[in-house]
Amino acid sequence: MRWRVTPPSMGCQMAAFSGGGYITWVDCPTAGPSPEDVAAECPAKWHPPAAQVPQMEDPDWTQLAWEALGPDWTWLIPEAKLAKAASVLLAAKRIKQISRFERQLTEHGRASVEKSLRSLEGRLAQHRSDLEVYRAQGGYTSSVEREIRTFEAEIQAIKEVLGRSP
Amino acid sequence: MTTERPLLSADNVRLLIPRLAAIPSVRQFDQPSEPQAATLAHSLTDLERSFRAVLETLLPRLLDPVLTAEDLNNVLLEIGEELRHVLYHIRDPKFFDYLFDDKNR
Repeated sequence: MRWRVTPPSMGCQMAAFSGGGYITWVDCPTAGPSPEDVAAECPAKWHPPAAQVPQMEDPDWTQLAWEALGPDWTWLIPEAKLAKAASVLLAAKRIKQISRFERQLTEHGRASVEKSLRSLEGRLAQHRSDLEVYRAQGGYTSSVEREIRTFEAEIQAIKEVLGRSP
Repeated sequence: MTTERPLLSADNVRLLIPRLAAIPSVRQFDQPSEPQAATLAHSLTDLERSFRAVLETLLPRLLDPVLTAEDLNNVLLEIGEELRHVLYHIRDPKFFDYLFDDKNR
Protein backbone atom coordinates (compact mmCIF):
# COMPACT_ATOMS: atom_id res chain seq x y z
CA MET A 1 0.00 0.00 0.00
CA ARG A 2 1.38 3.45 -0.92
CA TRP A 3 0.10 6.48 0.93
CA ARG A 4 -0.22 10.01 -0.24
CA VAL A 5 -1.10 12.44 2.54
CA THR A 6 -2.44 15.90 1.85
CA PRO A 7 -2.93 18.74 4.37
CA PRO A 8 -5.71 18.03 6.86
CA SER A 9 -8.12 20.39 5.07
CA MET A 10 -7.82 18.24 1.95
CA GLY A 11 -8.09 14.90 3.69
CA CYS A 12 -5.85 11.92 3.06
CA GLN A 13 -5.64 9.73 -0.03
CA MET A 14 -3.92 6.47 -0.67
CA ALA A 15 -3.30 4.29 -3.70
CA ALA A 16 -5.07 0.99 -3.33
CA PHE A 17 -3.37 -2.13 -4.66
CA SER A 18 -5.01 -5.50 -4.82
CA GLY A 19 -3.23 -8.71 -5.74
CA GLY A 20 -0.22 -6.56 -6.49
CA GLY A 21 -2.10 -4.42 -9.04
CA TYR A 22 -3.10 -0.76 -8.79
CA ILE A 23 -6.83 -0.28 -8.34
CA THR A 24 -7.52 3.37 -7.64
CA TRP A 25 -6.92 6.33 -5.35
CA VAL A 26 -9.25 6.17 -2.37
CA ASP A 27 -9.94 8.32 0.66
CA CYS A 28 -8.09 7.24 3.76
CA PRO A 29 -10.30 5.67 6.42
CA THR A 30 -12.15 8.31 8.42
CA ALA A 31 -12.53 6.15 11.48
CA GLY A 32 -9.54 5.83 13.76
CA PRO A 33 -6.67 8.30 13.79
CA SER A 34 -7.12 11.88 12.59
CA PRO A 35 -5.58 12.97 9.26
CA GLU A 36 -2.82 14.69 11.25
CA ASP A 37 -2.03 11.42 13.03
CA VAL A 38 -2.08 9.58 9.69
CA ALA A 39 0.25 12.19 8.22
CA ALA A 40 2.65 11.80 11.11
CA GLU A 41 2.78 8.04 10.60
CA CYS A 42 2.77 8.10 6.80
CA PRO A 43 5.81 6.31 5.35
CA ALA A 44 5.91 8.58 2.27
CA LYS A 45 8.91 10.88 2.17
CA TRP A 46 7.06 13.96 0.94
CA HIS A 47 4.68 16.09 2.97
CA PRO A 48 3.75 19.54 1.64
CA PRO A 49 3.66 22.43 4.11
CA ALA A 50 0.08 23.17 5.13
CA ALA A 51 0.29 26.69 3.68
CA GLN A 52 0.87 25.42 0.14
CA VAL A 53 -1.70 24.08 -2.27
CA PRO A 54 -0.99 20.35 -2.26
CA GLN A 55 0.58 18.74 -5.30
CA MET A 56 0.86 15.06 -5.95
CA GLU A 57 4.47 13.97 -5.97
CA ASP A 58 5.99 12.58 -9.15
CA PRO A 59 5.84 8.83 -9.44
CA ASP A 60 8.52 7.02 -7.47
CA TRP A 61 9.84 4.98 -10.39
CA THR A 62 11.93 2.69 -8.19
CA GLN A 63 8.90 1.92 -6.08
CA LEU A 64 6.73 1.41 -9.17
CA ALA A 65 9.31 -0.89 -10.78
CA TRP A 66 9.34 -2.92 -7.57
CA GLU A 67 5.53 -3.02 -7.58
CA ALA A 68 5.57 -4.26 -11.18
CA LEU A 69 8.50 -6.64 -11.11
CA GLY A 70 8.94 -7.62 -7.47
CA PRO A 71 8.69 -11.28 -6.52
CA ASP A 72 5.09 -12.41 -6.13
CA TRP A 73 2.65 -14.96 -7.49
CA THR A 74 2.15 -13.08 -10.79
CA TRP A 75 5.55 -14.34 -11.98
CA LEU A 76 3.89 -17.76 -12.26
CA ILE A 77 1.42 -16.54 -14.90
CA PRO A 78 2.89 -14.35 -17.68
CA GLU A 79 -0.49 -12.76 -18.46
CA ALA A 80 -0.92 -11.79 -14.82
CA LYS A 81 2.56 -10.25 -14.72
CA LEU A 82 1.86 -8.26 -17.88
CA ALA A 83 -1.49 -7.10 -16.51
CA LYS A 84 0.13 -6.06 -13.25
CA ALA A 85 2.93 -4.16 -15.02
CA ALA A 86 0.37 -2.40 -17.22
CA SER A 87 -1.71 -1.40 -14.20
CA VAL A 88 1.36 0.03 -12.45
CA LEU A 89 2.34 2.02 -15.55
CA LEU A 90 -1.21 3.36 -15.85
CA ALA A 91 -1.06 4.40 -12.20
CA ALA A 92 2.20 6.27 -12.84
CA LYS A 93 0.73 8.03 -15.86
CA ARG A 94 -2.30 9.03 -13.83
CA ILE A 95 -0.11 10.43 -11.05
CA LYS A 96 1.76 12.56 -13.60
CA GLN A 97 -1.47 13.84 -15.16
CA ILE A 98 -2.91 14.84 -11.80
CA SER A 99 0.41 16.42 -10.83
CA ARG A 100 0.40 18.60 -13.95
CA PHE A 101 -3.11 19.91 -13.31
CA GLU A 102 -2.38 20.49 -9.62
CA ARG A 103 0.60 22.60 -10.66
CA GLN A 104 -1.60 24.54 -13.10
CA LEU A 105 -4.10 25.11 -10.29
CA THR A 106 -1.34 26.47 -8.05
CA GLU A 107 0.29 28.71 -10.65
CA HIS A 108 -2.69 29.92 -12.72
CA GLY A 109 -5.79 29.41 -10.57
CA ARG A 110 -8.99 27.44 -10.71
CA ALA A 111 -10.38 29.34 -13.73
CA SER A 112 -7.44 28.22 -15.85
CA VAL A 113 -8.05 24.56 -14.97
CA GLU A 114 -11.76 24.99 -15.73
CA LYS A 115 -10.76 26.47 -19.10
CA SER A 116 -8.60 23.39 -19.73
CA LEU A 117 -11.55 21.18 -18.90
CA ARG A 118 -13.76 22.96 -21.44
CA SER A 119 -10.99 22.86 -24.03
CA LEU A 120 -10.38 19.12 -23.55
CA GLU A 121 -14.11 18.36 -23.68
CA GLY A 122 -14.31 20.24 -26.99
CA ARG A 123 -11.30 18.43 -28.37
CA LEU A 124 -12.70 15.08 -27.23
CA ALA A 125 -15.95 15.74 -29.12
CA GLN A 126 -14.02 16.78 -32.23
CA HIS A 127 -11.81 13.68 -32.15
CA ARG A 128 -14.77 11.36 -31.63
CA SER A 129 -16.25 12.91 -34.75
CA ASP A 130 -12.93 12.49 -36.60
CA LEU A 131 -12.84 8.85 -35.53
CA GLU A 132 -16.15 8.20 -37.24
CA VAL A 133 -14.80 9.73 -40.46
CA TYR A 134 -11.60 7.62 -40.33
CA ARG A 135 -13.65 4.48 -39.66
CA ALA A 136 -15.92 5.27 -42.59
CA GLN A 137 -12.83 5.62 -44.81
CA GLY A 138 -11.51 2.28 -43.61
CA GLY A 139 -8.31 3.87 -42.32
CA TYR A 140 -6.21 3.08 -39.26
CA THR A 141 -7.74 4.47 -36.09
CA SER A 142 -5.47 3.34 -33.24
CA SER A 143 -3.64 6.66 -32.79
CA VAL A 144 -6.93 8.60 -32.70
CA GLU A 145 -8.38 6.11 -30.23
CA ARG A 146 -5.25 6.49 -28.06
CA GLU A 147 -5.61 10.28 -28.10
CA ILE A 148 -9.29 9.98 -27.16
CA ARG A 149 -8.32 7.80 -24.18
CA THR A 150 -5.77 10.45 -23.20
CA PHE A 151 -8.41 13.20 -23.35
CA GLU A 152 -10.77 11.10 -21.23
CA ALA A 153 -8.05 10.45 -18.64
CA GLU A 154 -7.07 14.13 -18.53
CA ILE A 155 -10.70 15.19 -18.10
CA GLN A 156 -11.03 12.71 -15.25
CA ALA A 157 -7.81 14.02 -13.67
CA ILE A 158 -9.03 17.62 -13.88
CA LYS A 159 -12.35 16.72 -12.29
CA GLU A 160 -10.49 15.01 -9.48
CA VAL A 161 -8.21 18.01 -8.94
CA LEU A 162 -11.10 20.49 -9.05
CA GLY A 163 -13.16 18.29 -6.75
CA ARG A 164 -10.43 18.34 -4.12
CA SER A 165 -9.76 22.07 -4.45
CA PRO A 166 -11.59 24.33 -1.98
CA MET B 1 -11.82 30.17 -35.29
CA THR B 2 -10.02 29.48 -38.55
CA THR B 3 -11.93 29.93 -41.79
CA GLU B 4 -9.70 28.54 -44.52
CA ARG B 5 -10.00 24.93 -45.62
CA PRO B 6 -7.32 22.90 -43.85
CA LEU B 7 -4.36 21.83 -45.95
CA LEU B 8 -4.51 18.34 -44.44
CA SER B 9 -8.14 17.62 -45.22
CA ALA B 10 -9.44 14.06 -44.95
CA ASP B 11 -8.84 13.57 -48.69
CA ASN B 12 -5.29 14.92 -48.53
CA VAL B 13 -4.49 12.76 -45.51
CA ARG B 14 -5.60 9.72 -47.45
CA LEU B 15 -3.09 10.68 -50.15
CA LEU B 16 -0.38 11.52 -47.63
CA ILE B 17 -0.35 8.20 -45.75
CA PRO B 18 1.04 6.06 -48.62
CA ARG B 19 3.60 8.77 -49.41
CA LEU B 20 4.85 8.65 -45.82
CA ALA B 21 4.71 4.86 -45.79
CA ALA B 22 7.20 4.80 -48.67
CA ILE B 23 9.88 6.35 -46.43
CA PRO B 24 12.05 3.68 -44.75
CA SER B 25 12.82 5.86 -41.73
CA VAL B 26 9.07 6.13 -41.13
CA ARG B 27 8.37 2.45 -41.82
CA GLN B 28 10.98 1.34 -39.28
CA PHE B 29 8.50 2.29 -36.54
CA ASP B 30 5.57 0.34 -38.00
CA GLN B 31 3.58 -1.91 -35.72
CA PRO B 32 1.16 -4.54 -37.02
CA SER B 33 -1.91 -2.64 -35.92
CA GLU B 34 -0.48 0.84 -36.41
CA PRO B 35 1.67 1.90 -39.34
CA GLN B 36 3.79 4.88 -38.36
CA ALA B 37 2.67 6.70 -41.52
CA ALA B 38 -0.92 6.75 -40.25
CA THR B 39 0.15 7.98 -36.81
CA LEU B 40 2.29 10.70 -38.37
CA ALA B 41 -0.50 11.78 -40.72
CA HIS B 42 -2.92 12.03 -37.80
CA SER B 43 -0.40 14.04 -35.77
CA LEU B 44 0.35 16.41 -38.63
CA THR B 45 -3.37 16.96 -39.19
CA ASP B 46 -3.90 17.89 -35.55
CA LEU B 47 -0.75 20.00 -35.48
CA GLU B 48 -2.07 22.00 -38.43
CA ARG B 49 -5.28 22.70 -36.52
CA SER B 50 -3.42 23.94 -33.47
CA PHE B 51 -0.88 25.98 -35.46
CA ARG B 52 -3.72 27.63 -37.35
CA ALA B 53 -5.58 28.41 -34.14
CA VAL B 54 -2.50 30.07 -32.69
CA LEU B 55 -1.39 31.93 -35.83
CA GLU B 56 -4.75 32.96 -37.24
CA THR B 57 -6.81 33.54 -34.11
CA LEU B 58 -4.89 33.76 -30.86
CA LEU B 59 -1.77 35.77 -31.77
CA PRO B 60 -3.84 38.48 -33.50
CA ARG B 61 -6.00 38.75 -30.38
CA LEU B 62 -2.91 39.42 -28.29
CA LEU B 63 -2.40 42.57 -30.36
CA ASP B 64 -5.97 43.78 -29.90
CA PRO B 65 -5.62 47.12 -28.06
CA VAL B 66 -9.06 46.79 -26.49
CA LEU B 67 -8.13 43.71 -24.48
CA THR B 68 -7.52 44.12 -20.75
CA ALA B 69 -4.75 42.36 -18.83
CA GLU B 70 -7.30 39.75 -17.74
CA ASP B 71 -8.40 39.22 -21.36
CA LEU B 72 -4.77 38.83 -22.40
CA ASN B 73 -4.21 36.28 -19.65
CA ASN B 74 -7.14 34.30 -21.00
CA VAL B 75 -5.67 34.39 -24.51
CA LEU B 76 -2.34 33.15 -23.14
CA LEU B 77 -4.14 30.27 -21.43
CA GLU B 78 -5.89 29.43 -24.71
CA ILE B 79 -2.47 29.39 -26.39
CA GLY B 80 -1.40 27.04 -23.60
CA GLU B 81 -4.25 24.68 -24.48
CA GLU B 82 -3.10 24.61 -28.11
CA LEU B 83 0.48 23.99 -26.98
CA ARG B 84 -0.69 21.09 -24.79
CA HIS B 85 -2.18 19.57 -27.95
CA VAL B 86 0.98 20.33 -29.95
CA LEU B 87 3.15 18.66 -27.29
CA TYR B 88 1.01 15.54 -27.38
CA HIS B 89 1.43 15.24 -31.14
CA ILE B 90 5.18 15.78 -30.99
CA ARG B 91 5.47 13.03 -28.39
CA ASP B 92 3.02 10.54 -29.86
CA PRO B 93 4.70 9.49 -33.13
CA LYS B 94 7.77 7.31 -32.65
CA PHE B 95 9.35 9.14 -35.58
CA PHE B 96 10.02 12.22 -33.43
CA ASP B 97 11.41 10.30 -30.45
CA TYR B 98 14.88 11.65 -31.15
CA LEU B 99 13.70 15.07 -29.95
CA PHE B 100 13.51 13.83 -26.37
CA ASP B 101 15.83 12.29 -23.89
CA ASP B 102 14.22 9.64 -21.70
CA LYS B 103 13.94 11.91 -18.68
CA ASN B 104 11.94 14.60 -20.45
CA ARG B 105 9.69 12.40 -22.51
